[in-house]
Amino acid sequence: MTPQRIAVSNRFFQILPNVRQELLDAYPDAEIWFNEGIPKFTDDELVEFIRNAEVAVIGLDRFNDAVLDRLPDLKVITCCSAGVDHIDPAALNKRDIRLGWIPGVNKDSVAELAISLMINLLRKVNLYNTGLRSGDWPAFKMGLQLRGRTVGIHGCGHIGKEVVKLLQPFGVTILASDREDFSDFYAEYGVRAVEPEELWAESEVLTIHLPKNRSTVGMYTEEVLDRLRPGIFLVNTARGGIVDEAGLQARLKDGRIAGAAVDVFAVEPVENPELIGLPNFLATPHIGGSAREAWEAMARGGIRGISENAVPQPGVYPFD
Amino acid sequence: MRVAVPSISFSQHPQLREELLAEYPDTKFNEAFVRHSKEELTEWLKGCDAAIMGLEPLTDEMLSQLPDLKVISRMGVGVDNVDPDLLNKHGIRIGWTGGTNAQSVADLTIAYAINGLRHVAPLYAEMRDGGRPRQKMGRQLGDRVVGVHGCGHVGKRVVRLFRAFGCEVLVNDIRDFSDFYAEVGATAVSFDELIERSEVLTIHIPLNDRTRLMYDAEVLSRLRPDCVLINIARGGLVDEDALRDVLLQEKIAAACFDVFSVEPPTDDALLTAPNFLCTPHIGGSAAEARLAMGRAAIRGLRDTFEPKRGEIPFD
Repeated sequence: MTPQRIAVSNRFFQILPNVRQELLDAYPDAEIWFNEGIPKFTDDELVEFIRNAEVAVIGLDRFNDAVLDRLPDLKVITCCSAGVDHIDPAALNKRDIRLGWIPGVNKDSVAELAISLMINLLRKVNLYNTGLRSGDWPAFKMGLQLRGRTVGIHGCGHIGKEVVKLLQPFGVTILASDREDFSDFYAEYGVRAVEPEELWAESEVLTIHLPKNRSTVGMYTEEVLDRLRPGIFLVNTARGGIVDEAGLQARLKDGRIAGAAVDVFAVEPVENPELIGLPNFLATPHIGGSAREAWEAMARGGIRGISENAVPQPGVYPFD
Repeated sequence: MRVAVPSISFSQHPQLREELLAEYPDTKFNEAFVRHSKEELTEWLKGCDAAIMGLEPLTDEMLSQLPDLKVISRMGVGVDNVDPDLLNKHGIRIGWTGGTNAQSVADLTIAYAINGLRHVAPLYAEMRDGGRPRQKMGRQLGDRVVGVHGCGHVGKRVVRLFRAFGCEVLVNDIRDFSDFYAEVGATAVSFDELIERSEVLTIHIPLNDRTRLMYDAEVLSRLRPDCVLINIARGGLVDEDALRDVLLQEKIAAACFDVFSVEPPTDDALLTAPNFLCTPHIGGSAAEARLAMGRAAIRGLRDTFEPKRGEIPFD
C-alpha cells in the first residue's frame, strides 16, 4: 500500500531536518504533515491532527478506543520509539490497524549511558560533584573500580547485548538473565547465563534492560530488592514501573543498596525530591535514548515502519 | 628505619597502614587527615629517615632542617611537586612507580566523556534543584573523534578504551609510540591538529615548566565549539580564568575537570557553570588504585633511586 496521506506527530522530524527530508523523499507522492509544536496531544488534538491520514508516524501518543473510533481512515501506526508500552494492541487489533515498529534502534545510546552511570555510581561522581559545587573538598574520598567486579545484566536483548560489548575492555565478570537463550552470543562475549535469583545474589553492579510488559511490570518488589547482594549498585535505564521506587528509596537510605542511577520513573516527570536528593542516588530525565544518533535511528525506524508493519496481537511479543 | 606518612590518602587506608607497619614498625601517620603548614610538617618530620609523601611541597628551607631524611617515597604518580635538583642537593633518594592509578583514571575519563556528551551533570543538578528538565539531545561517544593528549601509562589505557568504544582516536605525545598506535588503530597528530579536530579532548600530560598553562585562552579559542574538554591530569595545565569565560560564553560544549591549579578551587563561577562537571581530585581514588599506589609507596621506601632532571619521571 502506498499511502496518500501521512500524519507525523513525532517531533524528531521537527528537530532533525535530515530525517524530515528522508521521509519526504521516501514518499514523494503523499501528502505529509508534521507536528509543528504540540509536545503532548489531548485526545481531541490528536484526532484533529491525524484527521484522514492512513498512516500516523507517532511519538508516545496514546491511541485509545475513543480516539481510534474517530479515525476511520487510519490503517498504519508506526513508532519512532524504542518501547511500545504506550501502544494498546487490542485497540489496534480489533480494527485491523497495523503497527510498524523496529526494535533496538537506540541501543548504542542507552548502552553508553548505562556504562557511564555504572562508573558514576562506583566512583560517587554525583556526590562529589554536588559537594564541590557548594564548596566541599572532602578529606576522605573513596570510590570503587569497575575492573574485576561482577556485572549483572537483566534482559539481554538489543540494548543488553550492546552493554555486554561495551563492557568487554573493562575486565569484568558478566552475568546475564534473559528468558531467551543467547548461548552463541554469550560464548562469544564471555557471558555466563544465570537465572534471575543468581543474578540478584551475585551482581555487584546490576543494570536492567528489560522492556516493560506484563511479565516485568513491578518485578523488582521489596522482596526482590531484599535478595540483591548487599552493597549493590543498581542502574535502570529501561522503564519506570519495573522497580518499586519506595522500596529502593528505603534501601538506599540504609545502605543495603549502595547506590542507584535511574533514568526512568513510574511517573515522569518524576516528583520525588527525597529520592532525588539522596547522596547515593543519581537521577536523569529519561535521556537514555537521547543521543542525536539514536533520535535519527528511531525516526528512520518510524519511516521503515510505514512499509514494514503487522497487526499487533495481545499476548504476543512485544505485547507479552 | 623511622618512617613518617604525611600522605593523607595513605594514612586513611587501614590495609595499607597494616602492611607498612608490618615492615616498618617505627612509623607515624597523618592522623589528622589534613594538609599541614610547611612549619608543622618540618617539625613533624624531624628525626625521620623516610617519608611517604602525597602532594605536600618540600622546600630547600624545610629540607635544610631535616638532615635525617634520606628517602622520599611517592604515594601517587605525579611528580610536579617534587624538585629532583633539590632532593639531590640534600642527598635524598626517591621511590616512585608509574601507572598505578592508570586504570582508575582511564575509567573515569570514559565516564566523563559520556557525561559531557549527554549533559548528565547539568540535568541531574536541575533535577536535584527541583526542576523538571526536558530531554536534552546529546551525542554518542562511538561516533566521535577523540583526542588524547599524552600517551603515557594513563594515556595508553585511555586510548584503548576509546578505541573499544569505536571512536576515531587522535594522539599527541612528545615521544614516539608508533608501534602502539598501529596496534590499537590510533593516529598520531600534531598538537594543533589535536585541539582543532577533537570532539572530545582529554589531557593526560604531566605538569612541568613546559606544559604549565599550555591550554591558555588562545588554545581554548581554537577548540571546536562542540568540544568536550576533560582534565583528570593536573591543575595548572589549563588557564582556569579562560576556561570559565569559554564555558560561560558557551564557546565549547562542556568541560569535565577533576584537578585544579589550587586545590581546593575557589572560583564559584567556574565550579557552578552549567556545562562544567567538577570533582575534587578523585581520579586516583578507586580503592584498588589507592591500594596499588600505597603498595608501590611501601616498596619505594626500599627500591629507591637518585632523582635526575631529564630522567623518568622528571622532565
